[in-house]
Amino acid sequence: MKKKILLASITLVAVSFGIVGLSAFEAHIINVTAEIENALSVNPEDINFGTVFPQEQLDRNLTISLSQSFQDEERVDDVEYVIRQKPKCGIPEPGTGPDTSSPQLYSSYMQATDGPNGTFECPDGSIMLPLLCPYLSKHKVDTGETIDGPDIDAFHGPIENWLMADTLANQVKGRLAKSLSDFEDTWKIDLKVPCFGGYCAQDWDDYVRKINPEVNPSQYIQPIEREHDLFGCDLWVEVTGISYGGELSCNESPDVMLVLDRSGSIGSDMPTLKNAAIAFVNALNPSTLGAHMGQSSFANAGSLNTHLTDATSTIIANINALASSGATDLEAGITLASAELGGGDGHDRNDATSPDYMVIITDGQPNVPNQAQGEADGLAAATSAKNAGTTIYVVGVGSQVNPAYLQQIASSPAHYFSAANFGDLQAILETLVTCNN
Amino acid sequence: MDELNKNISATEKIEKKMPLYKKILWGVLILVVIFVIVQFTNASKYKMTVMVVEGENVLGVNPTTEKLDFGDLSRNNGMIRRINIVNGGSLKTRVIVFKFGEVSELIKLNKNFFVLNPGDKFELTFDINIPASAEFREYKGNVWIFRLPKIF
Repeated sequence: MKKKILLASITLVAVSFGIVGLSAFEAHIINVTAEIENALSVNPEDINFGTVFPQEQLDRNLTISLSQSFQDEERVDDVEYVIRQKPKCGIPEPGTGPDTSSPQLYSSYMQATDGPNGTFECPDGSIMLPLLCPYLSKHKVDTGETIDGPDIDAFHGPIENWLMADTLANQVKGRLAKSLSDFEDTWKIDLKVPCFGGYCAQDWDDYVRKINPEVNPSQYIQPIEREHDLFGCDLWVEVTGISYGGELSCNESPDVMLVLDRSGSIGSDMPTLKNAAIAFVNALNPSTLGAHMGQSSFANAGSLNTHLTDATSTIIANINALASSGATDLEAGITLASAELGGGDGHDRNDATSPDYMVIITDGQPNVPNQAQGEADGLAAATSAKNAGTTIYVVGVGSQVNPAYLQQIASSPAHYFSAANFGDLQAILETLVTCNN
Repeated sequence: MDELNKNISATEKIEKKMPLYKKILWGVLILVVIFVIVQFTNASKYKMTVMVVEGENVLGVNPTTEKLDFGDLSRNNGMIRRINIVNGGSLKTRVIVFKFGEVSELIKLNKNFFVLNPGDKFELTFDINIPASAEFREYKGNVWIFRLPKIF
């Protein structure tokens, strides 16, 4: 009996070690990871304009909202999205089309896929419908929030050979934010019906130019052969990013890059800036399973002073080593922080559980190589970081900053803070780590 | 008499001793059990959910990444969510995707069985379409992603 118990125990231990050993083998040798993307695409229900006549104008509404489950989650706040247009594909119905007396009809519709060189392709067995996309405008109906991108008028892009570049050039951006009680956006999708070659009304040019003065009206006249055809365009709502709540500390394990201005204008305020930054580090309290922090800085050029780490003493030592001199190359500081948060060197953790944040502190305007280029480069770097999922907070200190510009750098106007002087900085930074949930 | 009993007992022990092939079978069985347990333990398991709501063209999104939440959708609407699979190891790996539960009937998957070479990435797309006959309620399901070393 004792022998049986011993044998069973040995077997149990062997199985346990086997499970642990094989798990470790799989984790390190096989190492295949699966992560859900936060981007998603929505293909709305058909918006059917029915039979229409040249120069007719028809409106349909499209409503995009935060789902109830998203609203119920406390740790998430806003959703950024774009509405894109893509060609529509259909499976031709037998007995219809160019070689018959019937206009082309379709038994069902399919989604176009990305082809080579930025083109679109239809799946096997389907063909592309004549393009309706250039004639659809997209205007936001409710204006409760201000940072949505510009609307798009009808008569945009080519009427043939629509490319991905046309999709991107004619997309509209939107944002829903729980913190601003903006739970729903309604877009008016407005069709301006084209006329067909040789049968356009005398006021066609005025009609087009009134809507979009930039275009040549004759480019939007359809060939007469298409007069009775079915036109189509797929509208895609694509979520490009989400933010995880207003306060950093509401997340249990954020990855935070501090981006510090060390240009010459800081001067004698450098010790105050360092003290505020160190207080921020201490308040965030980096730890192995908690927050990880890193730090970049910028003057004539940028430098990555600290990789993302949980070693508080290292972060503080590197902040204390900063010296003030030179110009303001904001773009360099953002790009270095963004690369660190992008995970290229392995310090960034899984963004699903450790979302990325950047906290930028500056007292002036970018001026490397000059102000105009410096601002453009800084904005491009910030946009790239935000598109990659990083939430950017900006604190502008003193009167030399351009708040409107820095609000564009930040993830939203709500992510921008203004400090009258460096003495106010510490209190502002500490509010970022105060979770009110 | 005692001697005779001892001999009988020794003979019984010899008869009860497990033959070699059985020992090997038990060993293989244990290895298989370990392998299966590890695969089930290490599989990526995600919940899937969608709330079918009343109205026309209602698109309520929830892009959080803990589960495949397709948000609030009205009938005839669709949504695509994606899972990125990356082979960061040094072995060719078979990836097997199982979806089950009532929501899985509404979802098309671009691939459910494929091989991933070291360093390769693949984007699984989950394309949900709400039919006109769907009831106004929550549909739930699960997706499990298994990874097996491709030995042969």
